[in-house]
Amino acid sequence: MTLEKEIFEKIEKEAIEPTAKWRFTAQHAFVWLLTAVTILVGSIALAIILQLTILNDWELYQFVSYSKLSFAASTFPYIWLFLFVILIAFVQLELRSTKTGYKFAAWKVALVSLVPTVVLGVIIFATGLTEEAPHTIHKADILNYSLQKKADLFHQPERGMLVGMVPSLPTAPAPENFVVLTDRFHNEWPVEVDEETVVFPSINFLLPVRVIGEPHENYTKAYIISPFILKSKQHEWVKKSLNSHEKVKSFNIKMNLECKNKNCNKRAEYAVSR
Amino acid sequence: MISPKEAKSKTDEELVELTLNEQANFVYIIRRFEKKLISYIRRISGVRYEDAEDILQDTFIKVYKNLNGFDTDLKFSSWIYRITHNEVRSAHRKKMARPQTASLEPELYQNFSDSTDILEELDKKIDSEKIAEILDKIDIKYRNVLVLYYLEQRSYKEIADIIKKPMGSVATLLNRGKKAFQKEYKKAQI
Repeated sequence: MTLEKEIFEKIEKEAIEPTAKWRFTAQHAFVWLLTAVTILVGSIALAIILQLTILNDWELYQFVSYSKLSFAASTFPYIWLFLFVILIAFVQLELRSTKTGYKFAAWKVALVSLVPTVVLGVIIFATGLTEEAPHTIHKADILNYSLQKKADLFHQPERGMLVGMVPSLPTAPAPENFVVLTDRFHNEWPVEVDEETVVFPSINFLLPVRVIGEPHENYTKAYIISPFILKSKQHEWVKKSLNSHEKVKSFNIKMNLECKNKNCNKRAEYAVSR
Repeated sequence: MISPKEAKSKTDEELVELTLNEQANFVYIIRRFEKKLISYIRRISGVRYEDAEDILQDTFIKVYKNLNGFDTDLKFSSWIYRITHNEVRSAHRKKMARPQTASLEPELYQNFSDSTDILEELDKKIDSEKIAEILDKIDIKYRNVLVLYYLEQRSYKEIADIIKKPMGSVATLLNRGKKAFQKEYKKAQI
């Protein structure tokens, strides 16, 4: 039997038909849609990296690090960077699988995947669309890793710095008014809130708070209480409070002197052991 | 169904359109490419004629199924070679799991010794049988471009469309393929 006969017999026997044109169109559209979605997710990841880096707690870095660089290194959202790199790699694979993707050199495809993602990421960050992101990711454990790391860095009870949940705060601070802060390892820390305490005006108690104060034997005397995750404008409030609170200023100088003899960045281990 | 005389005057692309309107016209596509593709399959895979026919049958079935997906930006011959190339690769993967002895027929490699600059560089005249043996020893990715360029007389752009790589990569593969060929040749001389 000739080859053509065999082919036609097979076509007839298996009732083979040319695949409909719309299926190919849909397939191409799907690849482009997937590429667009990946670019969008990648740009959101980049916007979150910018959010967590540029709007980091720079006004507080002296409390936990000797330099801005070491603070940046210990609070950088590496997990988001990893996610961003993975997404960029996906965009490249998707672009390569488009009709004409194979025609371009690898560096050109890399550039085409990177440029729109970066531009969109910067736009998302600049418009403040990711402002709520840290609050949202706080609920998702895997994505929350960077924030947990930062919480551990700032949770140094022996230096009067606490990060954790409080059920509420007294509306009118009075002498010897105590609240209990629970850190992420479920340790409880009594906190004294009095007339010297500056409290952020509207705290969401469903999210962790940050206490900056002075350690005492059985409790921490709070000087400043603010949300742990700050939005861009809230950083200004913290900065202003830090600069205007005389006790915090003098206590901070004292702490910095102490830090020269101790490794302040490893205090998180202390909280765990407690 | 159009007559064989009419089919002769039609371009490949017109035959595709005609096949989509009437299945029987597919026979002219088969007739037009059968010989070229069977040689191509045997040149790059070194399989026996019967095995090449099996690969070719699967290729034509795939071509028929995907006729609506034919990218008109490409030449039809590049598109059908691309499908053949993929079928050979998939058959090669199966072959790797179940090795066979290659059947090397010198006449398939005649053009190579007549035209290639590889041999000029070596300043040697090699018989076709030797070329077949050497090609069989080098990596399939290099063998593929050498066959497409020297034996199938395809341009860089066509090779790029067939193997789905940028033209720069085709040039690199061709260059490395030549070197691999020369290396194998020298090894065979020792």
